[in-house]
Amino acid sequence: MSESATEKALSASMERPEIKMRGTNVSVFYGAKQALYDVNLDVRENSVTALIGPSGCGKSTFLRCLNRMNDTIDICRVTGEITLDDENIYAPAIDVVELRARVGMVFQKPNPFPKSIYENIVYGPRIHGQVSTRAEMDEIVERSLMKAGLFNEVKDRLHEPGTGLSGGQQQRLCIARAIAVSPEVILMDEPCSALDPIATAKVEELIDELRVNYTIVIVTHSMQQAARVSQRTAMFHLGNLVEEGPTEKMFTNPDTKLTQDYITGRFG
Amino acid sequence: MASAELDSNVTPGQLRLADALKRAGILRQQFNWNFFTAPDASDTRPEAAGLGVAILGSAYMMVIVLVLSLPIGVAASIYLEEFAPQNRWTDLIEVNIANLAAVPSIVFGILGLAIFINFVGLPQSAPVVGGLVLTLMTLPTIIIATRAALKAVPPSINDAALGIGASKMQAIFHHILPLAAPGILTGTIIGLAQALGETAPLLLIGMVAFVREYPGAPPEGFFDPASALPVQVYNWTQRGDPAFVERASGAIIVLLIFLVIMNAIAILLRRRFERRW
Repeated sequence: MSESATEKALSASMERPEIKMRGTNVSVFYGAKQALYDVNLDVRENSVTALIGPSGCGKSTFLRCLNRMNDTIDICRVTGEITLDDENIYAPAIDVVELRARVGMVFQKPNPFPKSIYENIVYGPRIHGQVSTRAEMDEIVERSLMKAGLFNEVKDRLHEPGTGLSGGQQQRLCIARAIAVSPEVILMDEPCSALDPIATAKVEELIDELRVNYTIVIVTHSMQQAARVSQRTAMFHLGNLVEEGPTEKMFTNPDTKLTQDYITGRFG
Repeated sequence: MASAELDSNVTPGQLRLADALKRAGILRQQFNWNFFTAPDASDTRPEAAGLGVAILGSAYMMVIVLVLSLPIGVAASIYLEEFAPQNRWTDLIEVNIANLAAVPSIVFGILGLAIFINFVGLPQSAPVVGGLVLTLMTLPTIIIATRAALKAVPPSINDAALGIGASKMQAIFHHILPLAAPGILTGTIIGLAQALGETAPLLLIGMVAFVREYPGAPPEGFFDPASALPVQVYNWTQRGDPAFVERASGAIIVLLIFLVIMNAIAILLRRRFERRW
């Protein structure tokens, strides 16, 4: 990402620091083991928030709290409050299905359904009743693949299996699939860790473009990636949020020694 | 000819007449289709005995087993695999399912006799009772195969479905179950093949009786007396006339052909739909 784009994003987020999601005193327990300790973290609208930290620090756990994917783990318990547009997503009245349609997710390993590319994209909108006619489906497939920068590569084989694509293409297909249901927030759990540098560059470029329309939270192990794609960075260590701030400041002049050591590669 | 000479129903004069007719080209041998369609016959007429009633009875039982054990087995597996809480009860049920698969089949026969015939009052020798007993025997096999198939679907597929807002039910029925279907089908066919060859429990519920009448068309036919392929084999080996030994051998071959076909279908399905992740 170019310098000026970063500055623009920074100034934009300063002018209009809209909080899309806000975590207040979020603690997570797996059985008796506590994985997150009172995390307070805001996610700003139309920006990329990177979560960094060594393995097992709780960043993925926090990410999975944001669309309640942790609900699928029986022994997992979440306390505290997480809001989406000032609405507590752990409130009893919240429909998890609707929440996950608003907060989409892209996983570490590309996981397209073993169906055609077309079916992969159309599935989400169809179960949410967003499309019904053939024309609407065609349109959403084209639009989603366009946005994911994949359309030109796959337009001649939309009805071939999505699992036949290359790793990078599969991951962009998964992003397209997430976009298809028109989410407001997209969570990405180390989306590039299984990809080669060229595919990674493409996905990073895509993330930067998506920021215009979506709010993105990304977990990454790569400092460079966090520096390249994010506007704000949050550093986790042993289940605690160590520091959070504008990416530029985090990488040049962090407040804590821990962050500085981690970023410069002295531990982690 | 060899067994006909031992046969008290055939006189040496009749045998000589047959030889003469054969030499004259009037008598010829041909494939005995009646063997597959005719009902069982009395001790004095082994030549008329066929597998008609036994094949129909076995077919009726297989229909009952399939219709009952597949949905119940798959539903039970989905519950145990995806919904059941991890507690002592679930553990107990799981251990018992594994044990049930190893219970001797004659025990299921006694159970069927006590419950379905004596308690519920269903008719003896009827395919419906045989089908119910074989269902009980097949269920553990199907549940074990189905759970293995469900477990083999990678969790990332479940994550992917939930991640775009599918409900748990949608994730299971739109994605996990279709991917597990080949494994479930294979397990079901193997379970059915096992049930098809099962003899002991059927003896106890009276399917060993001599049945000359074809059972009626389903569903009423399920309650008519019928025989079953393996029981027919057992039955014929007990008869006095040596010609029945040949019948029994023929019936065993028929039974084996059915089993080979079913297992071949299972293998083909597995080959065709096997997926590597």
